[in-house]
Amino acid sequence: MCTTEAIIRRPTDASAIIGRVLLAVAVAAGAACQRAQPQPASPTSDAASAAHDPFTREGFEHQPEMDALRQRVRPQDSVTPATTSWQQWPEPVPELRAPTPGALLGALVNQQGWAGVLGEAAWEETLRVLPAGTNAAEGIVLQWGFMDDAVAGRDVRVLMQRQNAMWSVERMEQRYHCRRAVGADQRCQ
Amino acid sequence: MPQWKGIVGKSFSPAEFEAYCHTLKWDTWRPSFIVLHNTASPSLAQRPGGLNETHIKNLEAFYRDTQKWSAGPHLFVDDQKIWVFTALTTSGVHSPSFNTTALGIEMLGNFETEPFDSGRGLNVRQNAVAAIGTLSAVLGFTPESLKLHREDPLTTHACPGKNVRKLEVVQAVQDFLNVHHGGDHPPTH
Repeated sequence: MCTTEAIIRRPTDASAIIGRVLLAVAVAAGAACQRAQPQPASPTSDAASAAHDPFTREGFEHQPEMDALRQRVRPQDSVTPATTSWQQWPEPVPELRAPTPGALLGALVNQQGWAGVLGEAAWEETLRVLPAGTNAAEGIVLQWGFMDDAVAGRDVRVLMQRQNAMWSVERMEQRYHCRRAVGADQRCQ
Repeated sequence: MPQWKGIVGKSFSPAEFEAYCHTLKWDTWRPSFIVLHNTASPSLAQRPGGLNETHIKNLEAFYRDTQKWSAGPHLFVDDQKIWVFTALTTSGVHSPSFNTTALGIEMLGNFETEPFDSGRGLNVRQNAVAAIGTLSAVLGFTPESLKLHREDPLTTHACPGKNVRKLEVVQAVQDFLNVHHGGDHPPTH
């Protein structure tokens, strides 16, 4: 398994007009796969360390900022930051095509206008791609730092398939990271 | 980390709040409407005596140190008082689509499960209506301009809870204006 990751951040400081763009990792899928040979399971390995490995399923879906938020919360805050379960995308999936999974994910972000809110309504957006063979891949968009007192972030998981040398979106799901609590209906409160 | 704007940290009865609002001048930032929230956590049950100065200080630490924000909502309204948190004359942080254009009012309670039309919930509602009505009169908002946090298109959540029904709140604000301001809501500053 391998991932391609890009992080786009814009400072929230009002004095900053132009955001900085940080491409944290941009690796060719083949090279990434080469480096991402599965390690033998170690008796000492645990979910926590796997969650930080960029070439694992755990790492693919891991939002480290949520860990940091949980660690900052104090008992007197009376909140329990938590993540909702994955939920089906509430609209028809966009009909987009691109030559690579990463390009498709980027096109989706552009089409949805998600990057446009960076620097004002949200802090960062991280894109990752996890290939699953030659004709399938998963992408994820980790949005974080919503300036919202209920919702800290959102993950959008995108199942992509290749047909006739072009990639398209097959299915999308989303989940929310909640600042205060998750309600019984799996929404942030 | 953006610079923390500080808080006012004073509590008022509805009548005192009206007098306080008439002392304010919106020279550098002027909101266009109000966004209504509930705290969810803490709930009314978690604050049996309402909010006190220690709670407000804890909330300041929560927004400043845990969330790393520059500000929080403008008001916290419980069943006894109206607390001014972020200064009403500067933008706050509460709802990503509306932070730059709206005041944010937090009602103590989880109105997904706690009643909003009886007991302490009704008292919260009455104080919130008084606060919204006063600000509407002072700033020239129509009652219909009120938005609930869950109307923010950028995030999906249950804030305020389902027991807060917008049309009922708008009507209550209109009734408040009819009684206290002869139905007018002229801008006075």
